[in-house]
Amino acid sequence: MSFGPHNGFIYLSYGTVLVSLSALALSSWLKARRFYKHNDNTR
Amino acid sequence: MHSFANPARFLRLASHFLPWLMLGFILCFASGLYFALFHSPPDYLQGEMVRVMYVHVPAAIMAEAGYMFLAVASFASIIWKHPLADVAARCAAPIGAVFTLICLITGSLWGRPTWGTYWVWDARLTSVLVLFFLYLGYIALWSAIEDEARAAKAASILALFGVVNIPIIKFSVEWWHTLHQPASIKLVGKTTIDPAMQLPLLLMTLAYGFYFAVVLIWRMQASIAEQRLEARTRAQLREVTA
Amino acid sequence: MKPKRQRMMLMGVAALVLVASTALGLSALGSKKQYFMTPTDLATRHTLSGENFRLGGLVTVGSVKHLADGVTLTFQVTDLQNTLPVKFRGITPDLFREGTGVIAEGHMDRAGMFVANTVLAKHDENYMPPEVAASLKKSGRWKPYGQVTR
Repeated sequence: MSFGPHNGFIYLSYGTVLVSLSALALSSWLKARRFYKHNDNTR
Repeated sequence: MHSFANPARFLRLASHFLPWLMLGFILCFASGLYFALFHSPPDYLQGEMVRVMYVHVPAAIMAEAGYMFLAVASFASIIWKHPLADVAARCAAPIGAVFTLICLITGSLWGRPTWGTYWVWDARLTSVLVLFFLYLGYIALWSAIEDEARAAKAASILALFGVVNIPIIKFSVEWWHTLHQPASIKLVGKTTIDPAMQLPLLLMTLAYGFYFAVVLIWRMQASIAEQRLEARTRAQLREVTA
Repeated sequence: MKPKRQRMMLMGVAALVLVASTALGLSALGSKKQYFMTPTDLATRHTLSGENFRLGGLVTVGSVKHLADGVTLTFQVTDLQNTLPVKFRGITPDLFREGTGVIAEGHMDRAGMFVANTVLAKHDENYMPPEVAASLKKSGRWKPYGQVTR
């Protein structure tokens, strides 16, 4: 799919959003999961 | 106020709302992306490049809203000294920083093909960069000071000092000559964005808002669990030594 | 209750000091916080010959002319009160059009012409599909220098 002469800029900006949002979400989710597991074991 | 600030109660409420917030994010993000990329018109002047607006403007809104959240939580932390306020502020900072970074990067990628430059030092761009450094400074203070109570105090004071920057960002395009265009969505008066372009903008803003809430809850859950673990370990240690 | 009120008071005083010092700091920056000067700014603040600065305004409709060498163009920059002629050698950004905003960096020559080294396009806060713009033009409601008058 193409958005004309400045195609690359649109792909790059949407790519930036997807990559940075998923990286932050993944790291936060892993933290939450790890500590919940730990919490259950020590309860 | 104080009953909501109870960590145990917060955790119960949060895990109750979490699935709904995630559902809200998925629905808004998927439909927002669809409208933003496939089902919205090009602009009369900048053509397809207007599509960057749908990821850039909501990121700017979240960067500022995130900072206001950080400031309010810091205020509550200083006045009422409630630990949950510290947790909320500390966990919101990285999310706000990421949205500010997204705002800066997408803005730069939007500026090159439209204005003709990636970056200029005008009042708007500079004040948003200052916002990013405020977030980084806040995060750095937390990790630089060992003692939790002292770190909370120092970081909260920095967060409150930084609030002056928010109206500067907002009104920079009105007070001074800038390369950045004035606001299209105004506090008073009509929006100067065509309705067909407002829909993807609204959906993406909601999606970012849901994302903020979900990730904030995850981080707060982890942080509260960590605090409890530390307290328990300390208690056990005391038992052993006694 | 007392220490809480004390903290509130302290915060109030700190906020006042902060706002006052920010306002002072910003006013001390003076014209440095302006990214460009308009033709009217130049008319009232004169001089600056040979000195580099940024000129901003709207490209006067009908003023863009390409010189015979093919890479130089001249146009007028207006803020709807004063107008200044500009000469630029190079490639303009895509959004450089007649009637839209422009910021040029350069200096004044002896003949009173602004010689630009770089030209940036500044767009306004209006976003609309081409059809809407076309129908505005057709019905005669199109304003040549931006759709919103402030």
